[in-house]
Amino acid sequence: MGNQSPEPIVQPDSDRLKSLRIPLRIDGQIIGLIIFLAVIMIVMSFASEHFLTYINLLNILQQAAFVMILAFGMTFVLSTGGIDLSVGSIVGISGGMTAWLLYHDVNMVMAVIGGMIVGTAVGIVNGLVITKLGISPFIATLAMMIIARGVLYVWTGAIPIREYMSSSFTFLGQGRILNIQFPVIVAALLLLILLFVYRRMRFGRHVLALGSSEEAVRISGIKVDRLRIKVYALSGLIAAIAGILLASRLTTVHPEMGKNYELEAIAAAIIGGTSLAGGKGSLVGTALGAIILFMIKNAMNLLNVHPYWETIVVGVIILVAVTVNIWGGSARIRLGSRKALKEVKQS
Amino acid sequence: MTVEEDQVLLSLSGITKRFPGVLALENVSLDVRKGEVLALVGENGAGKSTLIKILSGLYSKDSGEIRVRGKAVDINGTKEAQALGISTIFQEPSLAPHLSAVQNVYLGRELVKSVVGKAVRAMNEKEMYLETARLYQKFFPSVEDLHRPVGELDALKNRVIEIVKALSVDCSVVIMDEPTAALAEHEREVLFDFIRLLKAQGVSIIYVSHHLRELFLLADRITVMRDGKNVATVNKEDTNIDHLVSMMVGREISNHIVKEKVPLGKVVLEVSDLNRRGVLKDINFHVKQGEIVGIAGLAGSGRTETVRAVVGADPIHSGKVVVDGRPRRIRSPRDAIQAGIGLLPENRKLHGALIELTVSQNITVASIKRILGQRFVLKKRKETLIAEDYVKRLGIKTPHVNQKVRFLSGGNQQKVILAKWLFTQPKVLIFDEPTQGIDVGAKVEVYNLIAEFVRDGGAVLMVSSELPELMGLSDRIYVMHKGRFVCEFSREEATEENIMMYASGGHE
Amino acid sequence: MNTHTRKLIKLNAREGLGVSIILVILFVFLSVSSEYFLTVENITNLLMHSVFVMLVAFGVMFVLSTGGIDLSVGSVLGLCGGVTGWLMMNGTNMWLAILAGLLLGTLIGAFNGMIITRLRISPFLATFAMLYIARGLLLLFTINEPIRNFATPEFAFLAQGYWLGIPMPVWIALAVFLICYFLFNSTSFGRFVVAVGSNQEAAHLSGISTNSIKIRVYALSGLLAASAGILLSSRLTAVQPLMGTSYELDAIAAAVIGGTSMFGGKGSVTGVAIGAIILALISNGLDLLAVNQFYRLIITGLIIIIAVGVERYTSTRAKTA
Repeated sequence: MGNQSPEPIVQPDSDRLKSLRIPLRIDGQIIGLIIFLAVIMIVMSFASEHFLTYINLLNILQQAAFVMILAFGMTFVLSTGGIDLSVGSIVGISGGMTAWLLYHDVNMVMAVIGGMIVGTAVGIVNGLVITKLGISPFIATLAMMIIARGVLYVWTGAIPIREYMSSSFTFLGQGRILNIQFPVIVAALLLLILLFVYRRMRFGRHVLALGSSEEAVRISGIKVDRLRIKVYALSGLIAAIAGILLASRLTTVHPEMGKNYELEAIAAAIIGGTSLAGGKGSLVGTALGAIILFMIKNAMNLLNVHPYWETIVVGVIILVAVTVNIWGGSARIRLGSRKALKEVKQS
Repeated sequence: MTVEEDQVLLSLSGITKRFPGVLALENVSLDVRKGEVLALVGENGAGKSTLIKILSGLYSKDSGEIRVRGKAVDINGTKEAQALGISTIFQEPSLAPHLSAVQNVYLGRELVKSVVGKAVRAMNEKEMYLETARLYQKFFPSVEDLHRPVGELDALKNRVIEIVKALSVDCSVVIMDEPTAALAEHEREVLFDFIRLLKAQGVSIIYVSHHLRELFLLADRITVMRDGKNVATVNKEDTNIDHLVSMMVGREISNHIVKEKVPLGKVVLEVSDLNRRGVLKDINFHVKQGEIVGIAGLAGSGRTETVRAVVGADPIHSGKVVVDGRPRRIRSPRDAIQAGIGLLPENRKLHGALIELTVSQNITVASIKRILGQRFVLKKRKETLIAEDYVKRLGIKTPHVNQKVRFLSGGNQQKVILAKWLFTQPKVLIFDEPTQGIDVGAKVEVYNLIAEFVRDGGAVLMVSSELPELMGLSDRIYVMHKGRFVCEFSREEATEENIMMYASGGHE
Repeated sequence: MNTHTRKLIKLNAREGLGVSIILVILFVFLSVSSEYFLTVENITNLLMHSVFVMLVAFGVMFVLSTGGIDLSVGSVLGLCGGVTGWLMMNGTNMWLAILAGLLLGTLIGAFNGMIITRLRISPFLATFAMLYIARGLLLLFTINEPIRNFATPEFAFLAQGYWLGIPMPVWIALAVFLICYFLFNSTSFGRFVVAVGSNQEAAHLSGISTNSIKIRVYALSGLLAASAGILLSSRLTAVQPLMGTSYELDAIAAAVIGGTSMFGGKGSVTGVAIGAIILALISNGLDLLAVNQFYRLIITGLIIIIAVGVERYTSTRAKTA
């Protein structure tokens, strides 16, 4: 379209106004989570003198770090409208791989890379099964969860892998920089990197679009299958990172390592405002979600509430968070244009 | 008319495409000239969509040749099509509802800038925004909406964003597949103006539509397709609707709208003071036995909401429904069925058909009590017989009644839904866009079935966006505007002009 | 008419094809490779093992057919078995205790359904939360003392007794199978379940109260999970706080292997039964062949993928045929 008449230039004012609006919209949710966190902290600081201490708060972060890392990957997967139930097993199998390599005196860097490769490979297989066989993500990753766990059992003969720790490997799970535990730093770094990928890079945009309307993505000339495989590979890689850190932290890799982590990761992402239906997600929300989960566990621990209550409270919080989400922000799209969404669903 | 070589922008010759068991396109040839609107018409299954998908790179052709500006090309994928200057606006909305206009327009080809070296590249949001805003302002002065998720915007804006998306690649041919499908009458006018604007700028448009009247407003030439073949290409001046229809169907269709005079009986359905806050205001109307009553109005004027409220599918704040002289309390579609009212909803795929169920299961689902034996056991033998009876009576094309409805054509699905409602033995049937998306032949059959129902003593309330259909069938027409019934016309009084005047608020 | 019925049979046969082939292959393979496999004792043993997952899977199948999912069944199973045991431990009459357990399961299921329909929370999330809550309640029940020593001989008979040489659980499963089969295929309830799963809006406009169907389906799922829980507590004669963990996954696996669609509108009671038997068959076969039980996980996962893959393949074939 070469011959266009000069167009009115968009006013810079309104331009700036508009670009301000996007972050604000998303922040509504984040602010809700922060308020929720603040309420817990204030109530707890009165209820227990041990709560609001530097050490305790760091502890919460340290405990939350592993699930948080997993939940970052889960956020990407959920954003596409998929789900990855295999991450818990990937934690086990890739942590196991790294430990096994270390046990056989492989260089630490190689061992870590080995673990990451295993995780990524499992993720790629997930993606292939989903895209090429047309099996729903729930079933495909459910099967992978079972298979990967089985492989770990068969491989280790159900005997925990031990005596692989070296001083440098110990640092990954237990070391500190500026008195902050290394896993927390990894989680923070990952958050920054993934935030960039999710919000600023094309890949992140395509992930959101895929969850919003697969047809739109396909028509736009994006290779949907390849995109989906990449997302599951990313989830696998991130799970592997968590697995390796956990292997260092626990100093033994039990074949049950990472079991049920997928549920906690999903819970963290959902509490953080990521939609199971796809098209909507927030990494910062996910991080806050993971912190909320573990802060509550910590609070109950300090209040001498029996740990058995924990699961009940987690369940209730998921319900509350989701209800607030549904009746708050996300209702807008539903009401705003039922028609457009309907038509999307139809196709 | 001879055309100079350089006037032909895009030329297809001998395009053939075969799917397992079907020859979708057979030796199709056509030319698209610079700056013209070429309309493509044909019944469903005539091969229009396949042709479009080949041009936009979603399907690959089996044989034949595509030339762009005289050069033979191969189109693999939408990106290659765009690189050749061919953009497509598909029939199904192709925007991601959670993304903003800017994000949608640049989906898949986001502008990037390097952040760390060459390897890490972030999206250049500002550039994308400015370019989108520039194109969008051709259609709407305000750029307010560009950052809102498109799912929150109305259908017209969604269409415009799709057009902007098509234009944002440097294109010389725009293919539009049923672009007016989701639009109201006045929005169509706006869209047509845009299309004329494009044409004036030298862009060629391939325009696919079922609305033959639209074509005469827009098209320069019309290509008719039937059974995967290109039947004819004619200049607009040399043809008329009846001629087109007969070419599309391959036979003469005498008069596609039939409504015989049926003696009117007593009032069957009377609705008074129907209110739904913010949506419907003081709705009053009645339908008599043997009568077809139409509801006209623009999309969003509350037509669908009215009929949904009558059958209890949406909540109401006040209102009285009287059926056959008896006041009825209708809170859910189930109550409506018991009162003898059935609604055939708009958008068959979404609201009407249970596609995973069989033909017979669909037919009996709304009146399952009638095939229920003792102790809640379904009488399957009886069900099959009933279904086979309806299949025969309505001429539903299906291999057997245990076929899943998913595998039937749109027209036959609509007939199955009609059979379902006939089996409830209704006094009143409400049709919401009864012929949406079904082809000419099937439309006539549906009209005949509606007429037959009325002849047998039924009463019909019908919502339709197609005025000829509405005026041809209805004895009376109510016109809606902004959630109110603003006017009532008898069959004789109704003209397209006065209906449109009231529907678009011109009376105020 | 004749050709119609023949086509019908063909179509139906095609739908259950994947799972039947797998069952036959496993069966033939095991009969050839282990002489012990094809004995009455082993087969009853095998069926016995499949019963618990099968009962849960029947309920899950109904839920999946409406397009929902029930992740809470494993926890409900544990909780209801636990409550029944706890009541009996405290001297409640056996039948009353069983009734209470069943009632509790039904109520939890109905509660799931209420949350899903009234609060409009997605089934995945609602039952996901219930998974935590019900498990937590069981943990609280066992906080002070473990639930054991409650099994009277009559109660133990439920899961350990024999009638006509066949274990009681198999009889119970058979009865539940017949009831579910009847419910699913021959009643308006079953018809409405698939109608809701196929197209909720259309079902609603056809006069089906979709909310009540959904609540009933989740209640049924809870009831069946509770019955499996009570049976399991009778078999184990003690209730561990983690009893029934991850049963939801086994049940979903059995349902999906049996041809139930995760997207609703399609399910099969017979398929589910076969799916559950296949799961038990794998474990049984590994035992007989003296293969490490850890392979069970791998094989189960593979079979899920194969069964669903074959099902998808045949159903796309059916479309073109």
